[in-house]
Amino acid sequence: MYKTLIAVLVVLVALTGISFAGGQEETGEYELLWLTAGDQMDYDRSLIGAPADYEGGAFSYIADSYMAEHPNVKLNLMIRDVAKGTMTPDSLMAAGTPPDVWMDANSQFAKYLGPHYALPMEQYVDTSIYQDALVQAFTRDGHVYALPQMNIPVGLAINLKMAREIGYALPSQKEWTTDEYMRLGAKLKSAGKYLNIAMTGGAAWSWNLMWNSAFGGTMFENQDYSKTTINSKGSALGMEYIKSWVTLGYAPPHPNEQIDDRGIEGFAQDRLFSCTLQTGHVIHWMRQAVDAGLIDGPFEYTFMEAPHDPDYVEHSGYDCYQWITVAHKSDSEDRNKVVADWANYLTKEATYISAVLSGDIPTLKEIDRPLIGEFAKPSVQALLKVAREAPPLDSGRQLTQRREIFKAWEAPIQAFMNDKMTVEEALVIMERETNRLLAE
Amino acid sequence: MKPRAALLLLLPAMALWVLSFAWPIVSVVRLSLFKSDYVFETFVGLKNYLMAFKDPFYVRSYFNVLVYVAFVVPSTLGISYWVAMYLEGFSHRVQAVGRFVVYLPALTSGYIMGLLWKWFLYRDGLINYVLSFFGTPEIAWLYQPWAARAALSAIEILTSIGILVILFAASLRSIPLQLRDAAVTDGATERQYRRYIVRPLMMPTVLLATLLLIIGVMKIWSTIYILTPGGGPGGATSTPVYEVFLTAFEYGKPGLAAAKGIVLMTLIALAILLKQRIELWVKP
Repeated sequence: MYKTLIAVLVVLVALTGISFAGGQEETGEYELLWLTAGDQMDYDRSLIGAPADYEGGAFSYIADSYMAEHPNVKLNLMIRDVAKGTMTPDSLMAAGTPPDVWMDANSQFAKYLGPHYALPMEQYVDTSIYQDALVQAFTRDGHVYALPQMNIPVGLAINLKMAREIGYALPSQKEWTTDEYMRLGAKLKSAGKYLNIAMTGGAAWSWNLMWNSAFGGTMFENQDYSKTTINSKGSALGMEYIKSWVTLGYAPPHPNEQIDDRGIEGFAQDRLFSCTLQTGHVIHWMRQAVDAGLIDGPFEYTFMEAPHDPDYVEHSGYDCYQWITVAHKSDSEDRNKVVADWANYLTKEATYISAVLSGDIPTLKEIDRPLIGEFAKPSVQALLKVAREAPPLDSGRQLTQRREIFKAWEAPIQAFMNDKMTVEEALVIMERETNRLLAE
Repeated sequence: MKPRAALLLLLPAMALWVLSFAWPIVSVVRLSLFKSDYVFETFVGLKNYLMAFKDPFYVRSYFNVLVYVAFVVPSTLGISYWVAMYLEGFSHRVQAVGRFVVYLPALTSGYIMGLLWKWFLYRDGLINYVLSFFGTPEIAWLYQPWAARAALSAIEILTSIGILVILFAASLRSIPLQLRDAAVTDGATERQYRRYIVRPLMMPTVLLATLLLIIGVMKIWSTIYILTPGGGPGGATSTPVYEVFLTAFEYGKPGLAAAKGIVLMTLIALAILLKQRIELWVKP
């Protein structure tokens, strides 16, 4: 009796599940989950063509527009809390309910860009509308597993107001050398200002790699991720150079307590002449500084390459990463088509929105709307120039071990900054730990 | 009662035990044998366990536990025992108020405690401000390994005292009054009564409290997450549980995290066994 009852219940539950899962596709209606890392709420609606009274975020507006055009598709947005790392997507994956579409920084996706997870987009949409080099970066075995949504270069932000105050005219790139930068540091110090900030707290070192490149130092070469090239004379000079800012009083003391957020704050609050940043950072943090009454209003700034040592290189490198959209492959071909279509629509619209609202660099070859707002600002155009002229540096953005590598670097770098280790000793440990993690 | 009916009545509890305890453990043991990204899995046998022991941060987290135990266990036990004994001398009402006051920090969420202590421990925070009146140079509490460990220990001591005071007070009250009367009749002084009667009777509770504290320090999480998110300078504040969290959710290695979790669980089980052995050994 009991066995029969339990068997009937199990069959009923199973049938309900199967009919529910299949029901959506039989009626041509789809409910998709899409995940992203943020939905900008405070923005100029007119820049993206949204009604002035639209209450949702900028990315939600794209979803609402898509649903208006495709009434058979319902899109549910889930936001990844960046403070919680990969907890949100990991939980979704572990539960067996991966997001149908996921738009995020490329470092999130190293383990998902493959046939076991991602939809090969070239089979569903025209990927040639995106910049070839970016599409190529996410192509594996001839399949395009991600669409590039935005390209984000990291340059050296320069406070033009402070430059004017001390009577400093920015030199040409050729004359923008590491020696010139130190002369500027002395001038700023005498005016009671800081040149830059040495950030060696936490895993902030990734922001400093451009200073290694100023002396020819690299982390990886020729896309060989089997071993690091960090233990070099160029890296040693770069690390000594950053340390000298603190020793000479050109940067705030206690570098091991400084993380990237302190750099962004310091620059946006008019306390640092220069800092390694990206466009969106300055816009967001400067607005906060104004709202908090820390500065009277936004000040003028631009972006340059980091200074270089002409004995080693002609240009220092610039770091760069992308936001990409990855669609999840399902067994249903009809569903795959819908998912790919939404992923493509989202990517195209989001690249425009990111450009005009945050000054990020679009990934489409052509955009049929005027690029206004933040993108039109001279500072963003200056960063674009950096991205065109300076060589990109390879900081292993796509490596799954990247976070662990920078964590392993923390102790030797901090010991070096505290004069408890020489730069050579620190680099030996950094090399050893990196290669150990790469070998796993 | 018929065995079949008894089994039927036990079924809900057993189902709950399987769902909430046995099945997760089996899943984690299984996961620990795979290199996994939640979507794609490769069987790697015991490799994750070998990698766990090769991970310097994970190994250091156990050293940190030893440091925390050395800082936290004697001081927490001593303070809690003393407070519980001291409160015994007051009326029931005063005792209740006293216990509530010392228990307050334990009621506060770890996250809130972390935020509060962050404000205390910053270079320009309250503690350095107070110390400056005594001419002490400012200390980077959260950025020097031993200062950070000391700070984390102080927070753990404060939050643990409350629960131990309650535990000790309950244990003290369970000692039959007749024993005191008998001791006094036999001419024992207060000190002798406490030493030869109270202390042996309290020993199982002290052992339990010690075990709870050791397990507690292995599991410190929220204060580390708030105060030293990367696990402190060179991993100086991290605990095994925090390393499991970082491995699973920061580095995206659930298989390795599972192996680290299993090692931790085994060590906690061994600590419980050890406590039971000692309990038998010291039984009055």
